[in-house]
Amino acid sequence: MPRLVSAKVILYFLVLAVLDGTVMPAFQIHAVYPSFLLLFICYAAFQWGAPKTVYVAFWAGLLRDLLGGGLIGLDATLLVALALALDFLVQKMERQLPGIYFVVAFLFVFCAGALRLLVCYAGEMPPSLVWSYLAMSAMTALYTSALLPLFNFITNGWFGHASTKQYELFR
Amino acid sequence: MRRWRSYYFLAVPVIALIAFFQYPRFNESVHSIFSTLARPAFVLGASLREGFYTVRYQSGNFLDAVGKQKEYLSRIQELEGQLIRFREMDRENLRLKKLLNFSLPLATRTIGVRVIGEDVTPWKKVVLLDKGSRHNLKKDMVVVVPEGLAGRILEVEPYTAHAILLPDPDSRVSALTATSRAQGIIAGIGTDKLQMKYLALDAEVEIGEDVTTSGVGSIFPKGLLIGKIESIERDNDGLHLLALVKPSVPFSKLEEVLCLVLSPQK
Repeated sequence: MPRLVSAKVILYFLVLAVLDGTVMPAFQIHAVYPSFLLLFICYAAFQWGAPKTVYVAFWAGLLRDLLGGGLIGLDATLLVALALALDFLVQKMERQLPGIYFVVAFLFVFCAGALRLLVCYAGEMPPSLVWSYLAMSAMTALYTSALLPLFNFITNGWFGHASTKQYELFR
Repeated sequence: MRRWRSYYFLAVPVIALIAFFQYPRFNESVHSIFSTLARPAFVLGASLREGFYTVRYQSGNFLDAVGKQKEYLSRIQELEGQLIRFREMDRENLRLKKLLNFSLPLATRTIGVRVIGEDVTPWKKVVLLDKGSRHNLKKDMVVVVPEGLAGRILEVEPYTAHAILLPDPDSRVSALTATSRAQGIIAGIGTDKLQMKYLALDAEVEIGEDVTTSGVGSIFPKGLLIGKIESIERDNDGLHLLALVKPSVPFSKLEEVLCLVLSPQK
């Protein structure tokens, strides 16, 4: 588990921000493309545990706010709130359950999209459009969570693999 | 205490959110600074994206081309099949034109029929025609092609008819040599040659002379070309000359023929 304030982490955040902001649209499928910053929060929750997820979520949210050009702090707040819930879920979940990481990542990404939709456009949109956007969030969540194994592999390589079993043993 | 630190951390973005909401100009300034600082990274990212787009669309085009290749191949096969049919129709058209040109100067009415079958016995030259009594075909109607006499109708069914061609061993036609005016009987021998039997010993028949129908009998009209004399010899009993005749009609290539509608007295 790396120190959060380190060149390695800051550089990784920047790379993910650039990937999310510029490169990933090249991989879109029907206007849906994945978000590595959200996957990084999931990765932090799964590999590093509770305290660090919130920090990662904060910086990821802030970067998303800066990338998006909207109100700074909105995504950061939502993601930090969701990261707290994610931490809680990860502590309670059965890790041996097949596909559990995929399901949790899917739920996290979907909730991030849905929550943002709710906060930004609540009451302003016709219901049909809301359903359409929710479907798009679900597709984004599916696409993003499908990349979790790849992201795990890359991030483990970047930061060095941490043994989850040993971590749990001394918890 | 450490656990609560996470919750305290939630306060930081909330405060930032409230602050930026309260001061929109500050929000814009931060965005502007971030965009300026991050610009080189985004330029690099954009060029990467262009590369990925290129790869994606090129591979898409490649896959599209691979997919279309199968479609085009099947289309080529289909068109080649059509081409073969069209060529065949073209040849048929030429044959029919020739047949039509031949039938126009004939003084009699004709019925065009198609050869649709042949006798399986190698030496038998009986063909099946695609018209019958329902199309006014009658027994003993004369069958001709532009090259000359082909045979006659042997049997008539409602929708088909059988015609016996000159090379059939059972075929007999009264004939006349065009120059020497020697009379004889043209008989088939089951090969691509015909025999002209019962020529008088003193007949001055020459090789290469045309042989036509004599008009004797009630079936064949006079003057239809049968072929050319190829060789002459005495027959086995020595009482007559026997000529070998090369038929003018290509019997192995018959596809369409004309049946002459003649009045009984003719």
